[in-house]
Amino acid sequence: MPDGTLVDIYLARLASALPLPETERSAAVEEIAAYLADATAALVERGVPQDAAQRQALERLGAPERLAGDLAAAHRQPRHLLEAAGTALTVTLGTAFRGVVGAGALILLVSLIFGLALAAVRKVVGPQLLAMDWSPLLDGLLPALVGAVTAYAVGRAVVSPVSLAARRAPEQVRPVALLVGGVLMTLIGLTAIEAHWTAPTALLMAALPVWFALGILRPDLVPPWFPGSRWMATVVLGLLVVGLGMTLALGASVSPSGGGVESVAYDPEKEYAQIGPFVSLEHPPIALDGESSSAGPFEGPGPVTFERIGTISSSTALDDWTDLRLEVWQGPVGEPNGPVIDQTATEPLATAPLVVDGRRVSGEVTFGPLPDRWVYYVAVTGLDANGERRQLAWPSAEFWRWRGTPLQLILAALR
Amino acid sequence: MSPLRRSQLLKGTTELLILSVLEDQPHHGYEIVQLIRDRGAGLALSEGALYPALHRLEARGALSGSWQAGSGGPRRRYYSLTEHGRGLLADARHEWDQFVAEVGSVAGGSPAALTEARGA
Repeated sequence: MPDGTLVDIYLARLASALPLPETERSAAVEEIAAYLADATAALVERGVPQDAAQRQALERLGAPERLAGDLAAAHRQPRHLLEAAGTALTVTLGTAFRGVVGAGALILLVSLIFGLALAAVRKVVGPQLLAMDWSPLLDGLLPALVGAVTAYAVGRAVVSPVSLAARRAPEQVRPVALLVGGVLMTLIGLTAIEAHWTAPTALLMAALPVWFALGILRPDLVPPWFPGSRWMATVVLGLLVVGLGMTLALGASVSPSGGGVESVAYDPEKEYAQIGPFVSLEHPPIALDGESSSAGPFEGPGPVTFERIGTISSSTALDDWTDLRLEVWQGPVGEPNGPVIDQTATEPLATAPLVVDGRRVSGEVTFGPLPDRWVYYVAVTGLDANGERRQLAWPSAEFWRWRGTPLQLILAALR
Repeated sequence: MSPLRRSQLLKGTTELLILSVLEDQPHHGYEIVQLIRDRGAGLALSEGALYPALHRLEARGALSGSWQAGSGGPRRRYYSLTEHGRGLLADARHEWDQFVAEVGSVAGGSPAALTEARGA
């Protein structure tokens, strides 16, 4: 390589702007360096001063970025497009794996330390400390955070190798990566992960394309060693050491779940009055069969169907009743700790007619479960001779926790 | 003829010029530019266009490049014509002759005179 600051700067700019694999790039730069040496020597031989000779030789080549672009275009072949797609896939899968493992390990480490510390403090101050439902944190925030970190890491890692594989400048690759990756990240963010999403965690997850775009446009936000192999090994080792150490030291088990649920005095007449008064709590006109309750899985995005089968207490018990139906009422927000009905609800979520066949009654009611409810009250009602709606059977409840993808959460909210 | 006009007319002939210069023996980039300049009596091929053209021709299999150590200086990449390159050169010459004849028939002067001028 010829001496001289101008030439060195030119060659450095050429090398950095040349989107070619290392062997091709160094060969091209070496060839240009040899040309500059020859051209400069020839000019100096003709009496041109060294500096001026270098400048003239450089001027003949034109701007290094333009030369780099033309050289890259000369190397470009149709197969490089396929190579670029393969590189994008490989880099994405590799980085995503490292991101999921690395970010997951980091978050688990923090959760573990927090859980152990909480268990230790609870031993001193009592079990009610921070007694709450932790599942939205573990089953919503955790995948969203892991997803955000991973999407950023993929965005940061993908442009440079794809640019080399495609023999195109990063400026040409970025818009394509933003478009293709953005669509894929949107699909993944909205549909890939089922969890107990809440609106904020689902929003965090649905924002995967934003984290991905941030990784492409601002790759310098996170240190370049993250999430490298050494970093991951350190985190996993730390996880083991801290977890083992704290478990041995405290003798505590990790229990992120909240404390016990306090029971309150049970008065169905009061608690479910908004549906209508009970005809009789001691001798209801309809006795529901034990097998009326639904079988699992007790969670999902819905729609959900609850079935009720029962027996009428006597052949004339429902003679004056009309519009017999099943009603589903929403329970309170979050984990139930008292009446299994939302005290502010004025209308059932769904209703379905009850079919009478001799002394047997049966019905099925289908509804879309609400993301923030755990329990639903199922009532059997009818209109008496005065047109008043009353409850004809003992109250019964069904547990159903909403769980699904962020897209299903949006659809549930729209319902 | 002004340098700009000459440069515009040269566009599209870069590959023909390079293949022609390499017909007899291998040369490296700087020699190719000098030979074109010497033979063309003032034809100045842009070095910025030369190297992309060399790499393009090599990628197409028309040229074969190899590194050779220089005498005291840096090693240089020498380019030689391949069989495919010789065929390409023949085609390019034929197309050029046709082009000159067609332009000549419109612009004035007989094709024979123009061919003769090129030979001279």
